Amino acid sequence: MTMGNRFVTSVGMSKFREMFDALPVAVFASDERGKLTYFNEAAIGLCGEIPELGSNQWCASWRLAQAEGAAAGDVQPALEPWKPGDFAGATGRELTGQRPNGTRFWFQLYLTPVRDAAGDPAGALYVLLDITEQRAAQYQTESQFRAVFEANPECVKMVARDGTLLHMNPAGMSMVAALGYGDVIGSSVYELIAKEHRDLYRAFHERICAGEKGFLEFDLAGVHRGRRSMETHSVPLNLADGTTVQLAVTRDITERKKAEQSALLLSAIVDSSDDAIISKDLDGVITSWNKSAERLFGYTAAEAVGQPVAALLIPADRQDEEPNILRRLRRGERVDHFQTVRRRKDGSLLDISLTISPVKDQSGRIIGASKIARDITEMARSHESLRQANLSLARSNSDLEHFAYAASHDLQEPLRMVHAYAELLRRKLDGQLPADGEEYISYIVDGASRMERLLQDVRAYTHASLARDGAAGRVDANLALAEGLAILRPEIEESGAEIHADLLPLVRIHQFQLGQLFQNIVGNAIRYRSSERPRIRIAAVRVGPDWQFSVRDNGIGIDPEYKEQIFGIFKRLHAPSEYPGTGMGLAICQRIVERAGGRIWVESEPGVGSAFFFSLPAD
Amino acid sequence: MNPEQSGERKYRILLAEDNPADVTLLRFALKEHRIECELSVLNDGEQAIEMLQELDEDERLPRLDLLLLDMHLPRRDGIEVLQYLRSTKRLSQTPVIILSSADREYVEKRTTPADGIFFFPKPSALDEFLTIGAVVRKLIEEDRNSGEENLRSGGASAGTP
Repeated sequence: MTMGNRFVTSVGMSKFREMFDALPVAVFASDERGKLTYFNEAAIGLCGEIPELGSNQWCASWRLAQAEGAAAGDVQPALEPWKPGDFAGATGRELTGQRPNGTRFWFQLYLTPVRDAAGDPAGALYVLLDITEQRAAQYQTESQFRAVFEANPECVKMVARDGTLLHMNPAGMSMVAALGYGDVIGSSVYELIAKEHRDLYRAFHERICAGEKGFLEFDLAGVHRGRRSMETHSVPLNLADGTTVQLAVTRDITERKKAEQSALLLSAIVDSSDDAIISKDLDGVITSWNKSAERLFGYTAAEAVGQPVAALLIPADRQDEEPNILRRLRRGERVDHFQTVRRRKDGSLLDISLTISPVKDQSGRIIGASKIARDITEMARSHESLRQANLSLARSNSDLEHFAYAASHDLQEPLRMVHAYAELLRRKLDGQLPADGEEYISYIVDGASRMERLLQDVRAYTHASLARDGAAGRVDANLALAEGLAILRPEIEESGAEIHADLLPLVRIHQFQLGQLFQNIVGNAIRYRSSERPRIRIAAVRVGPDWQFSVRDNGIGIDPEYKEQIFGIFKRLHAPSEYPGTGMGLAICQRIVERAGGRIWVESEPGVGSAFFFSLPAD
Repeated sequence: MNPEQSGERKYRILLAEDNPADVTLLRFALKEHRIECELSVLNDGEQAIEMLQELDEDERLPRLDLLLLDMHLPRRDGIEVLQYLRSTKRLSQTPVIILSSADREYVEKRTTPADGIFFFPKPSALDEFLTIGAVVRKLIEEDRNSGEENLRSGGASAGTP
């Protein structure tokens, strides 16, 4: 016989009804089929409506569920006391219900079976302890903790003493690149650790589980991804079952490590650079100073950092440079290869080349400048000696040209005497000379004439170089051609050459030189004619900034093997007796064209003809 | 018209030339062209200027018909002689033949076309050289004629007081 039964029978039904009515907890009673036979005031509050006696079950209008939210299944608390087995397990359980108006509540259910006098089941007594408020408070705390755990951007995990991973938040899962909880939960934490760090980690884990707090850096082997660097802060956590586990908050520091390494590398590069690398702020105050800066300027980093560049390095006569540089930096401009002079600690001066670039912070704001200074003392010196050498070369070259020019003139004078007096002699002795004497005089005159032509050509050649001093104007090539052809008139008439010229453009060159060019090239075309009547065509086409002239003939042509050679000084492809000439004509042409900023070349097919091309600047 | 035919005095020609070989050739050329003249040869620029000064100052002396001038003269060069000539009172209009080929540019930069200068490059071939005789005759006669025209029209010939 239960205590409840004894109690009911001793105090009588009406008395216990009065007592229950006044109780602050909900009390229901039902018959053996579960139909409601009694409820108190507190029960009405909990139900949210007045139940109907004899027809409703105590829980008829609720949707019951397990306290954790899982469905209640076939829970029929009214019948439970009569189920076989120990109903004590059912009593005291926590359930949740939803009222008809939708609100939820949590309660603890206490069941007491009621028997009739014969001891057969007669109903049950239900006491519902409303625990909604405690429950809500507890739930809030739990969900807050859960949210912190779930949302934590760092890996939060619990590791059992034997290394089994008990729990890990989503950040941790993604950190080890696990695809699901099954990948890691329940497995050994050591498998996640890079092999060479496992012993280190094991020792650390043991210490934590023994009650210490700690910090460790280690590498993660990762499950589906490569190696990552980690930093963990761990505390021991005592569980309800009396065991101690490690609670760890772990951060992925791979990027930071990389950044640290590249910063280290950068600083090593900066330090090992041969150039002085200095940074300064926008007021011109030095903020960093590498080893080469120490070597170059003589100040240590400690001496230089914090000092204004202007005061430390800039000579008095160049103080205006720094404000200028700072102004340009503030506008975001670079200063490239600025050659200037700076002062060393010992006061000596240094030729340097400066490249200064603005340095911006992450928001793009200019916060200072980096400055690379290169010692160009040696370079400046060799530059200067190179310039001097060039100058003296140009001088001696020009001297040589002047010499050749003057010599070719002065040599002509005595030659003229030889020539004229040989002829005078012949005239004076007309008729008195033996036949071979007449012949000898001819050789003297011919030799002198030939020498004179050579000297004239040498003179024309050097003149083409010396004339560069006078600025060339734009000349009408049609006029220059007419000049050249006028000089060639005897040859043109004698050979019956047909010369056709297109309308020619204006080009930048000395007119007499262009005339000479046409004279030499057209002259060659006539001289080196085939058995046919010479046909010469002169034209010009625009090619970029230049006019490209062409002089085409139907002459004997030039073997391609010689197409470079023919422009050399005194270069001849034929004996003078075969084709007269000094071998200077095309050399003079090349000189003239090159001095004018152009180029001359030939295309030819032996037996068909040649085409001489030369380009001259249009403006 | 030559002096013999017109019965006038011989031409008076000044030759400033330091190369005796050229002097000989020039004499030969004048002779070949039968130019009867009183030829004064000066071997340097200074002598030439002194001579010009004398001719200019002494009005009794006949005026100069022609100056044959080499540019490369010792002491005072051809340009100085030419400039002196143009600065004289009586002789400034005298015809001048510059005996030069290469110096044409040099001379033209320092004179004006109004100076009436004739350039005669000294050619190597004898026949060409001798043509200077024809040039001399042509210049002198042109000058004479223009002088006579000026006299006839009542204008004073330059260089004639």
